[in-house]
Amino acid sequence: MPTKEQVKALLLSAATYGVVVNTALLFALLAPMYVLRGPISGFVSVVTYNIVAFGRRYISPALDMASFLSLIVITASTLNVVSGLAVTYTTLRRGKVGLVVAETLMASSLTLLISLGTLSGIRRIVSFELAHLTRNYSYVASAGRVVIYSVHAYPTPASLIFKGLTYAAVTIPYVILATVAYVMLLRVRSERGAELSK
Amino acid sequence: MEGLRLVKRSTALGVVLLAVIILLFIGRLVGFPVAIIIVSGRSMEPTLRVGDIVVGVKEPFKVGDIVIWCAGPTYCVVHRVVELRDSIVVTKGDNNPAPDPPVPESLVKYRVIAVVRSYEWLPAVLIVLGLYAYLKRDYFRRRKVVPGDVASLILVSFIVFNAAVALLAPAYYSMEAGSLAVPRVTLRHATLSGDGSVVITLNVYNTRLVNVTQCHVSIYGSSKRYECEARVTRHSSIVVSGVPRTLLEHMIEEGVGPLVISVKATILFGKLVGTYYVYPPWRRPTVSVLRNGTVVIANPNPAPLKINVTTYVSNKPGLANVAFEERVLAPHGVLKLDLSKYRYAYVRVEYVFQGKRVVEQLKVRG
Repeated sequence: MPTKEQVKALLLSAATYGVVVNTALLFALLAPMYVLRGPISGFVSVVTYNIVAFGRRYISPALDMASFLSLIVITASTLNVVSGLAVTYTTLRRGKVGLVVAETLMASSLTLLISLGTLSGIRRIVSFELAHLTRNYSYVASAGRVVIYSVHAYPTPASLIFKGLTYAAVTIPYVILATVAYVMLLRVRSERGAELSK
Repeated sequence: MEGLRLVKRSTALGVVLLAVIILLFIGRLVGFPVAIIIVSGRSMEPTLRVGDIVVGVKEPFKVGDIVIWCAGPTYCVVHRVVELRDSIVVTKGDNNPAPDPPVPESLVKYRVIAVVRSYEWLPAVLIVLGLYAYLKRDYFRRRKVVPGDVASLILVSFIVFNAAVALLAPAYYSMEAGSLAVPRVTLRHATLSGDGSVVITLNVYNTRLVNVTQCHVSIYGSSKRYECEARVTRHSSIVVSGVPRTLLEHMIEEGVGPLVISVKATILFGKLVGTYYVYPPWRRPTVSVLRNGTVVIANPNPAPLKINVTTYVSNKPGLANVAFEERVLAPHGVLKLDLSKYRYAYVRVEYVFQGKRVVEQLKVRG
């Protein structure tokens, strides 16, 4: 049977981990994920993009869609930062281990798993767009062979969230931690309720 | 009491209905005989619109049917069958200009048998939810927050938000990549100008010529290449100067050609490697006699031309002075022979033009 202090420590760990991970995630969403160099230059992040292609500003309906879809991931991460801060505040400043905030933290962590699918969709859109932008533009015309310099897309550390299972590997321990803390808090509460009723 | 029973009955009915709908939505993942999908793209407009719900059943399909084929658990396409042969299916969105890549028949999971329009089901859902909230108003008022309430509220709200964003996204944005103004360079013409230089005029779009890094000139079929000088003008032209005179002379005399100009140029965002064939409009020199007894031999070409001029002059019939002269007519050059002081004068002009020996004999005076 876990003690109240143990649950408090677990909940605080989950909240701290959640705040750190989700703040980093929010930065990663805003930061350039791919930097383009060559005749097409600029950057692509999950939330926005700024690309100049052959001297003109490039507008991509697909990347606009990715930006719009990123609302889901941003909402999930923001929710987690807020609930993590709420847990930390109520636990440290007020000295209480609130069930509602613990439940909020657990539910918020689950939203990250729901947004996993959206992130995968965004990854597909960004990959499709990058493949389109970094293709070979050279051609043969009546004037001869027109060689257009290649366009390179360089991934930045922020693109790591799209690599393999990084996102899942970071969020799943957090979800487990938040859920375990909530379940243990429930148990502590129910045991205490049983003791009081005796 | 009667009201409470009604609420309980409607709650149970709502739960069952919700379970069935969820089951139908996830049905395609586990291969249920019936499944429903929300249309999330514009490719089937006007037949299917964003937000419409399609009901699919596992049954045989034919060309013209709308089917649901899935390439993965989360990637499904609702399109019309346009071709069906040898276990391969070709589908196409009614609003798409071209068909989809062919897919194996095994990927086709359902045939669409019914469509529920978004303007039909959305108001219905809202009315049901409103009615449910109204019937349960006392329950919600009295109810204390119990474990699970907050989590349910957060998760349900997030799922609804998620679905709304995912549903709205294709309505406002498309999956198309943006259009790119890729630089284009095409040839307008390549001509030999009057001063013996070659002017290569290009049509240029969204780029500009920067400079010429390499230039070679030769005669078609000959392995001998000469370096040339080239510069870029403001009007998207390359002016090639320094074409050896001997080369042009050879072309005008022997009739060989065309002139081949190989250029490597830097353009904004890239480079241009071009070979241009120039067909000079060679014209025969003109030999004419003026009234005052002057012979005028004109070379209209931008290349020098060798000519042999023989004059026969005399002031008495029978006896003539013969003079033979080898001359090179400069490009666009004119040779004037003043034979006005003789009573009798003839001229014979010989040259080789385009591989043929040309002889022109003219009586000047007498």
